[in-house]
Amino acid sequence: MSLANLFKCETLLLLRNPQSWLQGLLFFTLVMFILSFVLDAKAPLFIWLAALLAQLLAVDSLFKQDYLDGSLDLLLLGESLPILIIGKIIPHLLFNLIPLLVLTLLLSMLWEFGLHVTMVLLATLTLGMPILFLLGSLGAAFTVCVRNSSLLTGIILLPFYVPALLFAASAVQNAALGLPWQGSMALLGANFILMLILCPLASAGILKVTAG
Amino acid sequence: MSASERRHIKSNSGVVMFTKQWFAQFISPNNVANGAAHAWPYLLISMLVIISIALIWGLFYAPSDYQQGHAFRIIYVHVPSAFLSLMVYMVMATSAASYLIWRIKVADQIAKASAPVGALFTFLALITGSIWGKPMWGTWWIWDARLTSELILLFLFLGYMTLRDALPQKVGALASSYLAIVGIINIPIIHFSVVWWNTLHQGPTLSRFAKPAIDSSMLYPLLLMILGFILYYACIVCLQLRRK
Repeated sequence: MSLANLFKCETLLLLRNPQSWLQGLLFFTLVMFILSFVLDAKAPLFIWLAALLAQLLAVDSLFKQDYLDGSLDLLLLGESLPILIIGKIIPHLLFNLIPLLVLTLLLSMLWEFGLHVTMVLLATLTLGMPILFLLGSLGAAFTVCVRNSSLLTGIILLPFYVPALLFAASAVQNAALGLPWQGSMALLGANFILMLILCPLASAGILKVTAG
Repeated sequence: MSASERRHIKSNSGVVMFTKQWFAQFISPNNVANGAAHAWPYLLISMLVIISIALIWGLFYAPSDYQQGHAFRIIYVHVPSAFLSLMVYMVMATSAASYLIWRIKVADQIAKASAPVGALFTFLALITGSIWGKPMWGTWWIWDARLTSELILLFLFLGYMTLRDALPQKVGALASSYLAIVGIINIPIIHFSVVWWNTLHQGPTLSRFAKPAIDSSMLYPLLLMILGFILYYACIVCLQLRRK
């Protein structure tokens, strides 16, 4: 299966089964609702927290349907599995990230974060969510053959999410305090490049073991 | 190719073959189980003797610290636990890698036996650290690099065990080996965290390249304690291997 084909296939699947990404989005909205309802302080980092939780739920099913209907075996036969995994991640990432950015923009206006903080927040999400999805592909690969795996995926993934979350948080907090935030953003970018290189390779190895 | 050259290559490959066969026999599960069954009582006894000597030496004979008084003596549990938590993870990840590459069954069993011990040492390091931190720093816990990354190490050990439990046996062994290898990324972060970042945690007490930042009267019981902890770890692993 070629990369372009896979990309098209995956996008069509996501368009025809919108519940797979709409659920995550709805979850994000509900967590935000609960947080703003329960807590008085409205910090930009709550958005990151809710996005992370929604992403954990979304990424768990990255390979599951393909595993169940057998099309994952076709993917495993492909020549360059790591590239194919990237091709699988990108549509899922886009379908989760773009609505998330729109919602974040709306929430930022609602909570009056100010233009500067909002922009930094959106930038950290744009750079950070791909890291979470790349790492998430590891978790999804680990638990592809487990039936109710969302908790297990979370347990495995959350320790690995910490660095990305730290850099994103410090960028947003520094921006909110009027301090330079570019350093943390650069580290987040470095993290992204490292994960882009390592995660597809690791996921490929894991998938061959767990689904093969 | 001349005859002598050919003979040389032949004899050389004979040595390689012999070594390979010997090694394959050496690491066969039966042989290892046998060895472990014989070794563990010796390991247990030497561990008990060494830890008792180190404890008595460290708690009663080593001089008290000029700043921290007698409270510094918790170092004799804290540093060995922290050292072992990293060492056990490295052993676990190395075994996991050799299982993935060469499919050495014993390596997988060592990795499996290491995880709970590693989690225990990590937990001990965190607990003793926070008991030490309360009188010295005035707080049980701060979210600095060293403490946070050590806590992540605990979650890695627990995640390894959880994943292994959740998957079918063979798949679980292979998949959790991958997890152990991926988690290696955390080890240098823990090790160098006190050098790279400003933190409440003091710098390393022991270092391979520099003179230790501790007087020898306090150092020797510490090294002895680390040896005792290593023997404990070896003993537990042998107890696990013996049954297989």
